[in-house]
Amino acid sequence: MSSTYRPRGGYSSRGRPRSQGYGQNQSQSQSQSHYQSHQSSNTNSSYRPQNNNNYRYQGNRNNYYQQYSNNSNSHNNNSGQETSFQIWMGDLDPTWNEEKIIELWKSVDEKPTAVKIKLDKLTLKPIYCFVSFETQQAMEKAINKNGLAIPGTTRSFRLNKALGSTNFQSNNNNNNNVPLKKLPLRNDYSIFIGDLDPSVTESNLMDVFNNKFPKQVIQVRIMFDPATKTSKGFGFAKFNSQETMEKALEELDGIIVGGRAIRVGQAANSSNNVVVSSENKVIETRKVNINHSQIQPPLNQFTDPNNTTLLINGLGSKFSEDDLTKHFLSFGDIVSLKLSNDFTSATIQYYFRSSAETALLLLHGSIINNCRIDINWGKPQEDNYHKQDPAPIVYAPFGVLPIRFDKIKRDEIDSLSGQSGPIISVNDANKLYVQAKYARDQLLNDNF
Amino acid sequence: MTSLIFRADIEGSTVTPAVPEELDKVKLLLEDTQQNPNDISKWDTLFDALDEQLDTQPKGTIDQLKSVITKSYQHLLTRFPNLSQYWKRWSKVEGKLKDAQASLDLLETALDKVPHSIELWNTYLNALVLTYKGEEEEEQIRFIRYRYEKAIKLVGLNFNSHSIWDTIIQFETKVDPQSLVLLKVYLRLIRYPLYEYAQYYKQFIEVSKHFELQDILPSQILTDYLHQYNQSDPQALSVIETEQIIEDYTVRIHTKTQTEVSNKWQFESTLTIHEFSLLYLNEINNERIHWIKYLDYEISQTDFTVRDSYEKLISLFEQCLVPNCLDGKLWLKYIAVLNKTTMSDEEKFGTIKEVYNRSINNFVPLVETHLRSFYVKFLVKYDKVELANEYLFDLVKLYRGSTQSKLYLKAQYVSVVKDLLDLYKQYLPTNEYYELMEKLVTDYFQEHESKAKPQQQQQQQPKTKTNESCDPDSAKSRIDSSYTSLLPQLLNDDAIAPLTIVYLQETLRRKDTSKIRRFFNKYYKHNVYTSSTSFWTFYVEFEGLVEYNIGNLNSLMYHIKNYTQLPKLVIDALIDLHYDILNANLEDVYRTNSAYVLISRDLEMDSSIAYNHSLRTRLANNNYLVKEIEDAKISKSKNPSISTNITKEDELVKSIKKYVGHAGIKVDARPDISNKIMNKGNWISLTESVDPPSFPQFKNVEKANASINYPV
Repeated sequence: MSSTYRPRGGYSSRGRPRSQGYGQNQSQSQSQSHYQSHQSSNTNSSYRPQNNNNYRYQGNRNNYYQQYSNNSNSHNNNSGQETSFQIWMGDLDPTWNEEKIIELWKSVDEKPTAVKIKLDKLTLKPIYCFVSFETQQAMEKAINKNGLAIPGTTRSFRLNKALGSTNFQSNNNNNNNVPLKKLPLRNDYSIFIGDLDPSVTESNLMDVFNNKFPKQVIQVRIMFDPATKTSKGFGFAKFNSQETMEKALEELDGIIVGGRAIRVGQAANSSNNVVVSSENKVIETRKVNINHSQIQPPLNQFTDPNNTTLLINGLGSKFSEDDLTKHFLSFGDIVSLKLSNDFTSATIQYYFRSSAETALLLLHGSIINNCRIDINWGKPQEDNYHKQDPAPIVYAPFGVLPIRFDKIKRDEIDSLSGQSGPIISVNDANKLYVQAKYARDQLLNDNF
Repeated sequence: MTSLIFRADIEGSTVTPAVPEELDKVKLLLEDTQQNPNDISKWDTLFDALDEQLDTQPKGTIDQLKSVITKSYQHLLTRFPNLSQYWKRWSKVEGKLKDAQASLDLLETALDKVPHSIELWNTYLNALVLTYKGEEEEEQIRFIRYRYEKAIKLVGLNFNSHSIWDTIIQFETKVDPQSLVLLKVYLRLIRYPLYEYAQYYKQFIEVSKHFELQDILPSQILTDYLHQYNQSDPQALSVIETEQIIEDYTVRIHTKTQTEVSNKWQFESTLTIHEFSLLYLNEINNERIHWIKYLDYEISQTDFTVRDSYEKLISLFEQCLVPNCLDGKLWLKYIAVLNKTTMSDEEKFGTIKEVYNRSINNFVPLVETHLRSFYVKFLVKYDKVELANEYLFDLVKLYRGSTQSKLYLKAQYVSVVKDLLDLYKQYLPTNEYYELMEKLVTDYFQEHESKAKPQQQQQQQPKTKTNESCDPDSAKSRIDSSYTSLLPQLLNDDAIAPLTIVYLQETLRRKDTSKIRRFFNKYYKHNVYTSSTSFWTFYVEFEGLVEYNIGNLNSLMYHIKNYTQLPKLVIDALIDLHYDILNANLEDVYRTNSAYVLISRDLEMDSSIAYNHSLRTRLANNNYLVKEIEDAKISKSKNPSISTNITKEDELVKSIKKYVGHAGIKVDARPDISNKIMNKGNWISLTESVDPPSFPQFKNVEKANASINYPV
């Protein structure tokens, strides 16, 4: 166990280990909404040549990964790139509008042709904007202002070159609707695989995939750092048909490979070769951080936060229903209690989740009647597990002692609710007191 | 739903038949039914497969197949004799295997077991009538009449018995449409409140036209009518007068029947299930409430001094207990009604015993002890103590699991042992009873200790010797001593605690308090008492309410809170009782220095192991996971004396901490700071020079980030 702290989130100033560069970083995943400039402040996570316009934007749905490929110059820009010279500008004051921004640019002697502000969907405040210039020179001149203080304000310019600006111009308002299938995909059906454990090998991955999609996986490839020969933690898998690929996108997400849940997403296009640029000897792969939701375990009796049913094992027919009731009623009202036919296990459904949790925590592993009791979450019905609804709120205890609802009649249950509210008269309080003492004596003397 | 366990399951009398190898499919299905004997669909598939085999099977192996078929049906029908559909099916198969007579014989066996099933009677009578060829065979006709009379007696009053009546009428019409026998059948029938009563009345009007006045009217009533017409001979009446009399007489009967039917109808219409079925157990249970209303109404209408009146009620109960045969409470209700009737004592005893036997042996699952314990009381009431004793012995053996199947029903076992002790208390001389209790308890421990620690045996020898001297005045004894000497073999760990309480209570009655305390000191740590509520309650009440020994009470409570395996609910109750006792004896509280009890009550009843120390200790002392960790530690460390209670509690807290926030899902590593500035004590000295703390060092960060293993 390492005793040094390796920052994973929020400590970006301390630097991040290279090998982790595919990002689990909170701040990175936030910035993915600025899909074109994720690395504006955090440049060490990935590299990209400034003038290389090889990205193709693929829509901003969460599960799609944009992936670099260097042979895509020919097809990744559909039209009119030369006419659009946009830069991205972040760190906006919430009060600024388009005119104000144009004014600000003019105050530093630049002449933007247009400004397009992007609003945060939730707060409806401007978070960044795109500033267009007439010529490439004007744009490059403007981008050099990055980091300079903006006159008359407390802020400074945060600028970056906009990517795939053509796409933006044409699809600015309906990015979400870009139909993916219509994008010029090649004939191979590849998916991106992320969050791989460094120990996972291609054959491991192939085995797992082949199990799920026998004879439909053509190739699995993991990206390695050529310098250190270690896994970069991501890779690609090629399938034989569109259908399989779509199925794989659905089904492989979150499965555990090498002790870790993997993520999958659509690859931008198919040729996924590791490409080493001859100029800077840096792997030119890059990944856009996606706001990938945390992997949730499948819903079952163990993970449903509203499940109140416990499965008790190890009773070894040394328990009568009465014994069991007394032990488990101590923690709260019970909806149902069933002993199995061979008396070795029982299912108990509590009214409150908290009762079930307390019972599980305190009695798991205990020795009662010389039996070793094991408790875990159970299913309320014998068939498949269904999501449970939380119990209706109650504001006062049902009775002086916890109650087994399956032992009393329907009309008695109805009369229970509201038996004692938060404010009760002295007489009622006295009655309750006497009831409690009576219940106590009954409990103690009713036994054998 | 009560769990469906029957005597046959425990005794293992239904042995899986040997299946010939070529019947692999049947064998699988058979195993399936043995494992799920309550799943009727499994039985259906088995019987279907058997039928199929029977049709295709070569003659050679038919004998083996026969035995498989017989045993399978037997197994199902021993457990649920009321499944009349399966009796019918079996009788069909039997007819195929042998002949029609075999099938009839089987139906007769079925009717012996379930005499109140309309469906079975109907099938049987139909089959019986089919054998009648229409010739005048006196013997055969007499036999059929004898059988249907029995059917009428058993189910003829059933509201839905028309199918049986139809068969009978058909048969009699075939024999002779104008016979007096047929008329007699009708005369009875029109008095019975049945579903089809109107139709039978119409038929009767038709049939009665062929008969004379004196055939229809009983002589007494006839004389009354004649009196009204001032005649002495029925022949002297005109045709019109005769018809008037007949009409008047029958309409009266009919009106009475009609009112009865309409009264019954409001209840009968709510009942939809009249045969027992495993598929409709829930529905049957839902209709139970309607049945009870119906029965209560009929009970209120019944005159228990008139045989006819209560026989109608009995018939209704039998009708009710066809679908509700598993319900012990309804059987008890039936027995209570029988008890109310004015039969002679002997007849009553016979009838009630028959009902008890039928219900206990054939229908009511073993988990229901209420009915069985009432049976014992019933036997005792009729002075059949020996019989009761025998019966209880048999039950104790059965529940103890000493028979073939080893199924042990704890609650039932303890309850029956209690009944047996009650019986002994009543029918053994007091001294003998007390000595028997003492002997049973001490013998039990002696046996156990002689197994565990043979060296201690000698110390106890003299004590038990005195108990063997028999009481001379055993004239009062009604219990055979051979039974009492057998008893120790039948007592297991669960029976000892109740036995002890009986013994201690008896000792207390003899005011021998030092004996009670000696007993406690000797055995309180014994396994059989650690989870016995009654044992600890007895001692708390003994010290607190009988002896007023607060010091003893306090140490007793300390032990209960820290070491026993009692339910928390019970311990809470004892704490509350302790508190109340102390409040009532404040003087002693200050003398014994135990005022802390007065403020710690609520704390000790809390279910948080953070606050409630005694709870934590108790759980730690009784947790095998903690024990295993402890044992592992002890075996590793060279000095075993290091392990103390405190580390046990720490282990418990540690293991519970792994679940905090997500009970049931264990997360081993929690990220933590390893160089906490408050690590040594929860304070920072301000008198010394304060250095800026070093940067925090973290531990378990990587582990905590690892994916969680969710149970699947």
